[in-house]
Formats: sequence, C-alpha cells, structure tokens
Amino acid sequence: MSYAYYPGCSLEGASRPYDRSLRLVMAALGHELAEIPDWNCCGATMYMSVKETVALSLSARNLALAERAGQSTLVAPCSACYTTLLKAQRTLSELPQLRRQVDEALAEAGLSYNLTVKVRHPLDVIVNDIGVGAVVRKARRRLDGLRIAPYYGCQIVRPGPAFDDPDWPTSMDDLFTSLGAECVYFPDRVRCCGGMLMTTHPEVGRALTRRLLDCALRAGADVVVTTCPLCQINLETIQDGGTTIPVVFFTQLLGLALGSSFEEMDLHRCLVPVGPRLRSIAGAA
Amino acid sequence: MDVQPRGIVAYFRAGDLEAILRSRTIWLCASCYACTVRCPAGIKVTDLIYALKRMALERRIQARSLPIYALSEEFVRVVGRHGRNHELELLVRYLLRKGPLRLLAMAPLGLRLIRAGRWQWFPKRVKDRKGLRRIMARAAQMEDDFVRESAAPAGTVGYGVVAERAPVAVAGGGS
Repeated sequence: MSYAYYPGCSLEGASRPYDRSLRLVMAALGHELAEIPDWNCCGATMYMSVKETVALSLSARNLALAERAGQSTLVAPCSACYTTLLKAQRTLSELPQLRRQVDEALAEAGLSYNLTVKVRHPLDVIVNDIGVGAVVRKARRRLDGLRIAPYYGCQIVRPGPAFDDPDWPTSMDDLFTSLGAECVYFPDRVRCCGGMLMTTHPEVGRALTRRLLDCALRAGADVVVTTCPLCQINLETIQDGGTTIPVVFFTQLLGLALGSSFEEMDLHRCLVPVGPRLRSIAGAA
Repeated sequence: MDVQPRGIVAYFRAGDLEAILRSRTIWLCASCYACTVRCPAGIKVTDLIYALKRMALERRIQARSLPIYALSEEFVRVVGRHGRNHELELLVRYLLRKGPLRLLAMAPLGLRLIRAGRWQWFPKRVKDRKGLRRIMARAAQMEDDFVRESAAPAGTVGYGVVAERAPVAVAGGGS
C-alpha cells in the first residue's frame, strides 16, 4: 500500500536517522511512503496557542496536498506533527464554522480540503495495518537478550481517542517482544519529557527528562526506544557523564531486525553510543 | 507552576479569569495532554489553556516577559520566512535574545550534532511560499475579525467568554 508521508521539520535536521530508518523499514515491509509535495510546517503547538485559525490552516494545507496527490492516509512520525495534524483532521470534520474559514484561507492558494485524509502514526500503521506477525515473518535478525525501555511519550496516545491506551500503551512492547527483545518494567512510558521546556526553562526540562532516564536505568534497560524527535534529543542531550543509556528511534531498532545494517540505521549517529549487546545483534546478520 | 491545572478550572468556575491570565501556569504547559486525559469531568484542559494563552496575548497580560513568548515569536518568524521550521535558526535567534552566553553554552552540543551528521545548516523552504503566506494572512485576518466581533465588554468573565473565543476547547472531540 502507498501512504502519504509527512516527515516534518525535525526529520530534516537533528532527527534525520528517524527519517532514513522509517523509509527503509517501510520499504522492507513492502509499503510505499510518498512524500507530500511541498509540505509545510504543521504549526506545532506554537501556533495553536497563538492563533487557532492560522494553526488549523497550516495543517490543513498539508492535508489538502495529500488529498490532491490521491492519498487517503497520511503518515506522520514526529509526535508533535502527528497530534497537530490529527487535531486539524478531527476539528475540521467536527466544526463546520472553522472548516468554512479554513477553506476560505486555502482557496487563497487554489487549494481545498474535502476531509478524506486520515492521519496515522507509523507505529499504528506497522502494528495494526501491517501486523506484528507479518513483521516477524520478514525479520532477518532476532533481538534476543536486548533489554529495552519502551518510551511512548505523550502525544502519540494523547489526547485521544488514540490507537493505544493513553496511560499504558503496549504496541511497541508487543512489536519488540515478538522479535525477541525484553521490555523492562517502565512505568514512565507516557510521562512528558518536558518538550520545549528544555529550551525555555532548562531546569524544569532537565528534571523531567532526568526522571525518565533514571526510571530506565533502574529497570536495567540497555536502550530507551522512542517514537518522538523531541523526546529523543532531550533524553540524549542531558546525558553528560555518569551512567549513560542510548536512546534510539523505534524504527532504527526495527530496521535492524528487518535486516538493515548498523550504519544504514544510523546507529553510529547516536550521541550516546549504543552498547555491546545492540552491537553484537547488529553484527550477527 | 503557581496554579495547578485543577486550580485553573476552579478559578474559572469562580469567574476569576484575571487570576488565571496572570498565572505562569498557562505558559509552562508543555502540551502533554495528561490533564485532559485524566480529567474525570472531561474538561479539555490543554485546549482551554491554549485559549487562555490567546486571551492573555490579546489583553497584553504578562506573556511578553516569559521565555516561551520569545520562542513562539521566533518560531512564527522562522516558519513565516521559510514555510518550515529550521532548528538551527530558531535556536540561534532565541538564544541571542536570551543572551549570547546561553548560545555559547550550547556550542558543545552543536559540535556533537555536527560530528554525528545530524545538522542542517540551511533551511529547506516551501516552494509555494507566496501561496502559503496568502493562506496564513487570510486566516489571521478572519481570526482578528472574529476576536473584534466577539470581544467581551470589560469586566466580563467566565466560561461563556472562553466558549465563544475557543471553539476547539469547548467542542466535543476535536482535541
């Protein structure tokens, strides 16, 4: 199947490994990601909290472009983009008054949006459309012995209704335990990493992120596996000295299981180097 | 956080909008939606906070002195120019406003990202920037008209005002 692909701004910058690994994973699973032509910033929460109509119009332009490309499902890997685009999709179907305004704005660029595009997260697509069984059948490496802390972050399961439980999601657990990994007890799985607070109030952001790392370290995890660019960079960059733990995107680990190499999955680009267990799995193709 | 999310709702019910707009809480929200999911009364606290931020900005209350205001302003500027965010430009602009020392302190991290090949020197820009700007200008104009028309008389407070000003926060679903 073909999906409209919305990489989002982070995946062109510090989170390039997420972009590359996701593309390779979807190709290995036999599905096409068609990047939306000329997509724009989703607006993030910055716009939503300043101007609602502008925020919705920014998201709607992307939905309109996906629709024009003949796609019915849009895949957005960044949690913030995902939640923002999904909110636009839902709001525009539910509030005719805002939809009229947004339509009027889109018309300024010769666009229109007819509510036909569904916004999905790649984890949802992989676990619920493609299926864990199909992933296991296509796997070329087992993740046996690897202890992972599955970190979902806030925005892929909240505010919902979402594809997984808002307090205790398990899609990643199912996916990776089926591939042989062990998911450690990680109760902070949906706790906020602090997001932009790392920039605006570093002391608050650091405390929130530190708590997550401690939770993963206490549980004896080899690696934290995440679905969000901002979580990933926050968790990586506050680690300076002491006991460290690598933080990878779920697609980097999945791609490894599907047969991609350590370098293809950009695992050498982690700021906190991955440990021997993950390296030996990667070497055992 | 000087007022907890449930305090925001309590002030709200008491009709003291001013107290909420003057609190730092609404500007510290990281949009994790934990309160929205937990609220037993189904109040969409996060969307309510967005609405309150917009009201505080319109009434020019406090926000300008807070770090998030500077960051939002730079974000809007960067996206307005390129149509997409550019992490490097956003961070440099923000940190320069906050003081060059902060920028200097970030240099080691920058070097690590450059070495890891996770660095984008130049922004990737939207091709139809003119079209995008027209969309944004039209949307902003409609929103301003809406705000002017629905401006509550001075002294009016409470849920009614926010309900009118924040359709997303009040509508079923949509969050």
